[in-house]
Amino acid sequence: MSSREEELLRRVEAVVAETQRDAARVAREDAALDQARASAARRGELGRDWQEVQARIDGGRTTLAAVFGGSDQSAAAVRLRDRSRATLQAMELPDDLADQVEALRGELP
Amino acid sequence: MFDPLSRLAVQVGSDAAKVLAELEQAMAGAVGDTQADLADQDGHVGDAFTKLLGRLGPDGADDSYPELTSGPTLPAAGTSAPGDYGDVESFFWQKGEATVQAVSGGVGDIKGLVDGLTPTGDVTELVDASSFLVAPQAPDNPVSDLRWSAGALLGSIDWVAEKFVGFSILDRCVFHPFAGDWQGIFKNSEAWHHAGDAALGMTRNHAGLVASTPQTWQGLSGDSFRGAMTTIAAATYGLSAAYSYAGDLVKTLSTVTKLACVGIGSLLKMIADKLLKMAAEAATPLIGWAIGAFTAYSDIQDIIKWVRRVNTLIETISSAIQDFAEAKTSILTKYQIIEDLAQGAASSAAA
Repeated sequence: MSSREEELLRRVEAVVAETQRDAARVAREDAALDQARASAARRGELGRDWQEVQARIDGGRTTLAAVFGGSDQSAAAVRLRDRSRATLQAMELPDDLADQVEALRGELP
Repeated sequence: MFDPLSRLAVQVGSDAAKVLAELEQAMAGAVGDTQADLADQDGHVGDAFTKLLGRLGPDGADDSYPELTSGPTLPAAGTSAPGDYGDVESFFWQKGEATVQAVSGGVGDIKGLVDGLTPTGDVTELVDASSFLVAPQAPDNPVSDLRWSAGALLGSIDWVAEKFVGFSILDRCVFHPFAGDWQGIFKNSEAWHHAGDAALGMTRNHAGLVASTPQTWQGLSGDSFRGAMTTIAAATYGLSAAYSYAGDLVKTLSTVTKLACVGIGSLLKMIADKLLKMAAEAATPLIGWAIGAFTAYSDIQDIIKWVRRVNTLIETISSAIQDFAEAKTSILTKYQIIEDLAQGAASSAAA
């Protein structure tokens, strides 16, 4: 292996290692939030649509990805998607985050 | 971004194949010319001997010239590519040693190679160079896999990113940068080495022609023949080194791309999961969004960071492609030598 190949591979491996650390952290953090949301949905605290969709998720008849990805065409899933779109549409990023997004756009090919 | 670069890598591979073909043609022409010259010269020598031997009596000489226009059939080559050469499992970096032994016999320089050969007196191919010119295979195409899996992972949830960053992550991080003929690049990584091995085989064959000339063939014609064959051997040796260098660079590109694609795939999976989480939280207006609002800031920061990492990996692949593009100059220099030789052979034949 040439030294140039080693250098390029080291660069890639460093990114992969950082990503693995992030993956472990995010899995820990998000799993707790997912469970909290699912429990609230089962109890009906998030509304009837969430309760119905959660029951179908628990029964293996749909997934969260199908609901928000658009392949689940049930009425409850469609309403949840619409609500999600409307909320995200109305969402305004704080200035510093908006600046970061703008900088990112400029960096990408 | 990568389309013209990947096209460049494939184009240089194609040019290499063309030059090799031109080289073969030039050498075939040179051998044909040499054979014709030899027949002609042999005819004159034969005339002289016929006259000389004719004085010795009717049984002294055969009045017909040796038949050289169609030439005798060459015996089988001494060595050829290993049986599984070019198979997916016999990638050059795994079985390169066997190939090098078969082709070069540890050649260090042309003179060393000629000196190391045992003169046989026969005209034979030491190596069947064409046996190395097998069609390259691509065992896998990580870019194609990445494009497919990224579409499956992100395609349905990419709309969330478009809402808050204003662009499609799938387009900007996968489809746009990874356009182009990547399959061609991975195939080329093999083809360069096949061409290099074949050129090295031709080096040995030309060195063999020098070694096999009889000691009795002295004078201008013998020296010219040996000089020409040594020059061609040196040129093909240089070309084989250039091919091999190009092959190493494309192999680096291939290895870096494969590993980078694994990293990009992991990052896209994390981004997709995060986008899904954000979409779900955005649909929980009662208490959920209150929780979501708490995490949305860090979620978006995570996504920005991961997209940047994808870009770093893309830039690393781009660096490997640039290395290859810059190396093109040294390869073209070797082409030039071969082209000059071919031109020289053509002009001397015309003279």
